[in-house]
Amino acid sequence: MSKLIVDPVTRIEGHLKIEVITENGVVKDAHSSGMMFRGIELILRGRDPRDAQRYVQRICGVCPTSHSIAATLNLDSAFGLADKIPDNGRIIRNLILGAAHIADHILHFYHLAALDYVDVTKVAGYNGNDPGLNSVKEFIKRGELGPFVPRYEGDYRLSDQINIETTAHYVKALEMRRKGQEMLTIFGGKMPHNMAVVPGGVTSTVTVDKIASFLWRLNELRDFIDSVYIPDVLAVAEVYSDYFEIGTGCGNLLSYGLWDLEGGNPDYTKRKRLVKQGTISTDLKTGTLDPNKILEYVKHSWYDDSSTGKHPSKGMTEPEYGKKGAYSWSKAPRYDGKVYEVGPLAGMAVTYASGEPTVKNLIDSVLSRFKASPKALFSVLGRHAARALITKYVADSMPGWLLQLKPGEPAYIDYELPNEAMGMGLVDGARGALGHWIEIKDKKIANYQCVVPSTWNLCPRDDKGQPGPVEQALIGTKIKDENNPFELGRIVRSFDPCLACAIHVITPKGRTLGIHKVC
Amino acid sequence: MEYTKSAKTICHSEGAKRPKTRPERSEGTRDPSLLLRVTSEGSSKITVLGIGNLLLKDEGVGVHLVQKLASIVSDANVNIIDAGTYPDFLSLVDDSTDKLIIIDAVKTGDKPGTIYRFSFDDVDLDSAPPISLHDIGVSDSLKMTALLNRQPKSTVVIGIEPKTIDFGLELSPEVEGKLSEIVKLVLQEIEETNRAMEVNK
Repeated sequence: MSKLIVDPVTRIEGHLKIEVITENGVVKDAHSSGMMFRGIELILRGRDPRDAQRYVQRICGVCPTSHSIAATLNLDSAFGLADKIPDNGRIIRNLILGAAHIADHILHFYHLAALDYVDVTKVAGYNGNDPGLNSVKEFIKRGELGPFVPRYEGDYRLSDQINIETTAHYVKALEMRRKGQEMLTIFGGKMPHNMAVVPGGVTSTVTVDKIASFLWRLNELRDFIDSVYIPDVLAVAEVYSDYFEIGTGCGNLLSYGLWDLEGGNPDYTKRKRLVKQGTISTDLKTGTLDPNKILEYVKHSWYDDSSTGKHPSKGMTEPEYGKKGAYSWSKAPRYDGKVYEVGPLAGMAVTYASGEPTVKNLIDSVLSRFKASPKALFSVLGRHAARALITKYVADSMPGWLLQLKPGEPAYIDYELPNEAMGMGLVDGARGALGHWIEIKDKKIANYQCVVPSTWNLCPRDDKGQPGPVEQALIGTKIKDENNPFELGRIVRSFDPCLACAIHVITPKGRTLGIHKVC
Repeated sequence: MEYTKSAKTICHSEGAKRPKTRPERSEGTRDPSLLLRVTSEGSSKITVLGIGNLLLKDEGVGVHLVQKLASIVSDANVNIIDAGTYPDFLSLVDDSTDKLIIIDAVKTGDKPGTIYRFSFDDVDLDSAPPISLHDIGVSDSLKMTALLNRQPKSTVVIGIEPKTIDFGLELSPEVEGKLSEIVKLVLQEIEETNRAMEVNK
């Protein structure tokens, strides 16, 4: 029996630690620890509720846009505005969130996940004129592999040609991310931390110029998604098809849905969304979304036991570091008492099961190509495929939304701040189900709680001892080489983990010669 | 760029200016899309980038500083950007940047409030494979700009040794007390870069 620590997050103080116990090359047990206390909600207490949207965006450097939408939906509902947002405002929010998802998913596949499958070092043998590849070649020659190494060696299966092609796309994808972010700023004003999404709608106006400017970038991105991103995901899947059976996890998926297609229904769990709300399990049984079934447990988390089993709207953040039996700062959220995974896969699987024709086509075409059943979606490759397909699904929907915008008409509605109110905002961020809850007293925030996607996916055990989704996805995995547990890296990365939030202090180490103390 | 102008966070709480409840709607306001630069023509030559988390006291010192600078610097040559906790500033920095000045908390274990200045070459570049987006740090971001042949001609980091990294909006007195000194340092950096560019012309 041996203990492996999968902690590649060494450079920034290791906010996510994953520890597995192996026996005869099989993972027997796994513990996922969020190593950073997330008490950011405490900062909001006593503030003007309208501040929430500004502050929560600062929780996270990567998902600020998702947080801005969740917070704003939360405030809309608390202020009684949920069904009153002008169509322009609703659509612009969709466009802003859509742009963020597109940029994010491209980034995740090429710049985080692909390196698990694509051998960048093969570019050393490249003899052509592509400036991007030659630039990578230069890096390799200098031994400066920067963002590419160290990697887990031992299981690179793609042909040299595909390795080189995909690396060229890695460089191209950097460009595409930038396009997505530019697109976001057209209506969002600024990236990161957009200024436009506010309770009541958005602060940006609709003009024909903005629509054209957005569409121009969107077309380029759609072309990239269709002719590069999706083919690359399929090419990887072709050669690593065993990963359709690896990393299944808990087998339950939860989606809050996203991209509102109507504004008239104040109930976020029922309104029509492009990607649908609900639950689904490996037997493809679906359920409707009922947020009352969400409770958070803390028996294995560093919080006082008295705060266990609470609904997020009544959530408490009472830290108790070092508590016996606890191993994470993350709470363990459960839906209907059971373990649920969140992420693009959840939304796409729920929408697929609803029979929505576009999504059904997209997913069926992938499944038939690999002669796989829908159960294969619950896997490492299923997660990557769902992420690529949701990117296409939203990008293909956005031109229609742009046409529905009405230049010159309002995108915002005025409101009164209530004395006392409760609110809830639910939306799927790029990493999955994101919920915000607020309680307002005397026009001030009395309580604010966020349950973020990585809390669902990377949570520790609950009070009943049920391991979290990533823990379950790791348990039972066969490891070829304990010194190089690439299987585990691939499983964890397929969830697009997001726990190392917030700290970006530069820690110069090694060569410190050039540092000048100024004063 | 429009989005650099809004480096200041709008807050409703005490200590911050209370904006009008009704957002600007006049058609006369500038359309940010028209100001988005897609070519390198006419780009700012100097970019000051503040990095950090405003919610974690001294960790956010870079953002505090660019917010201060935004109201002081009016040089059209200078882009001031609040990058917040966004680890990937590739898309925020213009192609033709001559000088990138990064302001961030820098931890070496020295006395809190110690100010450092170093060129990017001095930062350790050994990095772990990114398992999460947040691991794409300053050095990786710069490497990616290099992959696209878009790296700034020169990059300096002006760093401040933090004292307290914990939930809260205020800076520790040790760091707060150094802000004006750091502002001076950045202004000096800008001036020197401008002068060097003049000479090169």
